[in-house]
Amino acid sequence: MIGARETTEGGFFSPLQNIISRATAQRLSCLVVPGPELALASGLDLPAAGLALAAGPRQANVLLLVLPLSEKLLTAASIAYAQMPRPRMVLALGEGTFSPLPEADATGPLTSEGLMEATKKLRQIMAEGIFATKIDDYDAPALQTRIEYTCPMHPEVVSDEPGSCPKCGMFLVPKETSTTSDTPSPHDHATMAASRPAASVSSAEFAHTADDNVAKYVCPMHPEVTSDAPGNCPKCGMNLVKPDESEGHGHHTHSHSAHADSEKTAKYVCPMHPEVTSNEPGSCPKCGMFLEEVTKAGGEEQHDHSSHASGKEAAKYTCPMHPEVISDSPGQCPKCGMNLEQQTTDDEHDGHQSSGHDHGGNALLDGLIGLEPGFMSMIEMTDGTPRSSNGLQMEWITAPFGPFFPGLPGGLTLELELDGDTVVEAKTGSLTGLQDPLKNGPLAAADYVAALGVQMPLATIAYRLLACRAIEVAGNTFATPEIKAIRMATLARERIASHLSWLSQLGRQLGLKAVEREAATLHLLVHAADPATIQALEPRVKKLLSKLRRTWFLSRRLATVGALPASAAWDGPTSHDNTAAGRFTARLDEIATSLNEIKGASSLSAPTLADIGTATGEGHAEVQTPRGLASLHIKLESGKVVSATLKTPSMRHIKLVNPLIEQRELADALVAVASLDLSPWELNT
Amino acid sequence: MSGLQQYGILFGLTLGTLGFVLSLYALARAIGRSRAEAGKDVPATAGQLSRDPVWVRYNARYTGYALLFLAFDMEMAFMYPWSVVYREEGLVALLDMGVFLAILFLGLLYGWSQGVFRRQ
Repeated sequence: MIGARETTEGGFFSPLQNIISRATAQRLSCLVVPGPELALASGLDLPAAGLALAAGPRQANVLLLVLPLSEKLLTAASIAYAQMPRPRMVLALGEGTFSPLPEADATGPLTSEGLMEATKKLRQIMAEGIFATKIDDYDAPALQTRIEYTCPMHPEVVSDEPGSCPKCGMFLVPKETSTTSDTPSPHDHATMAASRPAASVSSAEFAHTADDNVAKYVCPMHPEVTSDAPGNCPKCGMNLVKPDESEGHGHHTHSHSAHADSEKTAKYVCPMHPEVTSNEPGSCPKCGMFLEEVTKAGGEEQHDHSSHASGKEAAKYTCPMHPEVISDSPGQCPKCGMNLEQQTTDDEHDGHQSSGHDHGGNALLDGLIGLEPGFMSMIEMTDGTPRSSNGLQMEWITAPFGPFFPGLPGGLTLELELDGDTVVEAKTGSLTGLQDPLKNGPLAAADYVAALGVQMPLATIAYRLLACRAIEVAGNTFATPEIKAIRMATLARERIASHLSWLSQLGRQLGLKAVEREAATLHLLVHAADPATIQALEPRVKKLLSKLRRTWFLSRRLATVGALPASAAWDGPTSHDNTAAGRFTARLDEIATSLNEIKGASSLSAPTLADIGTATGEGHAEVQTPRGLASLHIKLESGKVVSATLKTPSMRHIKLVNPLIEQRELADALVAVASLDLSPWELNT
Repeated sequence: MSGLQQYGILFGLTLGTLGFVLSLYALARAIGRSRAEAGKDVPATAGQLSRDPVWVRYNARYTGYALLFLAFDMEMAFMYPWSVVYREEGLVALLDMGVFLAILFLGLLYGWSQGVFRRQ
């Protein structure tokens, strides 16, 4: 057992450990890769095998792989496996490799019987003992992280070796970063977020505007944002104002600083009301606070600090903690050993100390010896951080909600930029997207049908039907009415199964255990059943439907979420109501109508291609899959598919994610994404 | 019950507590030490190593609710002494508190009309 727990030599605790092993074997909880909906679609009855679904890797002790899996999904699975507490086991069902993951403890075919057998084996292994005296750490390429050192005060300072911050002299703290991932490090990210709208303001431009004495429009909060014409600041949206052109007293006090001297943007602004700006020191008419001088460029951190400083003659260095320590050359503070900082960013204090000129701004506090310059100034706290919709400037974080997130389809990546509990922006993608079945050259028509079906495990019938229809149109051969009827009835069965699977997923996300379980059970009973069995199950399905319709909480929960704009390209299940609740009831209605469609059918079987011989031609077909309209354009050459253009509903619907969730609360956003019923298999990677 | 017996019970309780604590330790030892492995201290468990620090200044958008809660919570402080003298004062106390609560409630209605319950 590779994922065993570590124990010490000697058998003092072994009786207790035997009991623990046997108890653990009784309670298996699994994380399904890529997701529970694929286990359902493959007909795996997890509860019957005694496997509980874990909400995440930290709650799981079995990693259930539903093979084959894409390379990206396996990488994600290796991370999830590493996060599972020991004892942990790998259970692989189906055919395929899973290379970054360790050897499977049990394998089997991708059937319910295979699962039963494999689970039995897992239990045996666990009961025999989950402890080992010598265990190895699990290491996957995705986990190879390197330790980075960063300053607690200056996150932009990143070093590979421990040491002290070149800006403030504090000790750098270790932080893990991945070498293999191409995602930017937090530092990059923060800088990106801050400078995103103002990316055009390069330091070269900045230098240019600083030397320029022509009057420009500047942002009261971001002096580096300048424009020739009035307008709004790209960083904070405030109106640009015209800076004072006259040689005010501010410039005399700043004469030592080349930076501030040429940049005529000295302003006084209220720390609480940034719209209150003045050319003179004084107090804010709104709150009476002293106005603070804003000569400090907001983009200072983004520019190279030292390049500004070079060429300055009267540059002074001071300790951030002891403002009375002033030196002409850089070095350490004799009192606390911190690196001295150059006084280009705190011009008002410089002026104050060197000329004794009273500025008004923070005058009271500045008078106190020993206070940090800019004491209680809030500007630095929020400088450069993005502004939220409610006007506050806070830090945003990016959090992944996929590929494995309970209640969202497995394999779908959803990276949300969060401002508090509000979603600012989403990045969507798929780890298991479409692969062209024709990438190895033309395929025989029947093989193409099978290949497309395998590619879409969540809607095999619909895509087989789509391929059959397109090829038949191209080959000018048409199925008999009986076959057509069977095909439609089989598609109806898949629609029921797919919607039941979606209901189970929604129940999982909303924490409605009963809905999750009942919908999953019904899915397993329906998804491969014959018409008679489905007929017999109809009362049970109808009971679930009416129960769901009567659940007041559910419709209330969904009614305010996921309202699609009128122009949205949505062609999935629709009702008059374009919210998540509307899509929910539309799916319930579709289950009911699909049950009626199956009633007349004699038998149900997966669509197979009519004999097209060695036909040549082009064909186009459309099928209303459970998720929406899919279309396929196909080119046949002597009975072989040479090219195909597939358009899936999820390709269109994934574009709706951002408009649906922007500025919504996180929980609402997740429900909105779930209500779209996206299939990661239908997306391009 | 003699003093000695009482001490006996106390001794028994102490022994029981110690025994319980020791058995917990034994159980922890038996289960084995948890192992620090790569990925285990990553906050996100969605199959990606999220590198963003999650310890950030958090934009709490329910500040309006929090302030309202504070206002109505403070009022409870006034209701304790009121409930003590209620029996003596009788109906007058009820009316006084009614007026007080009505004013507070008007404030709530005003806040509502100004949209403090709306999510920002």
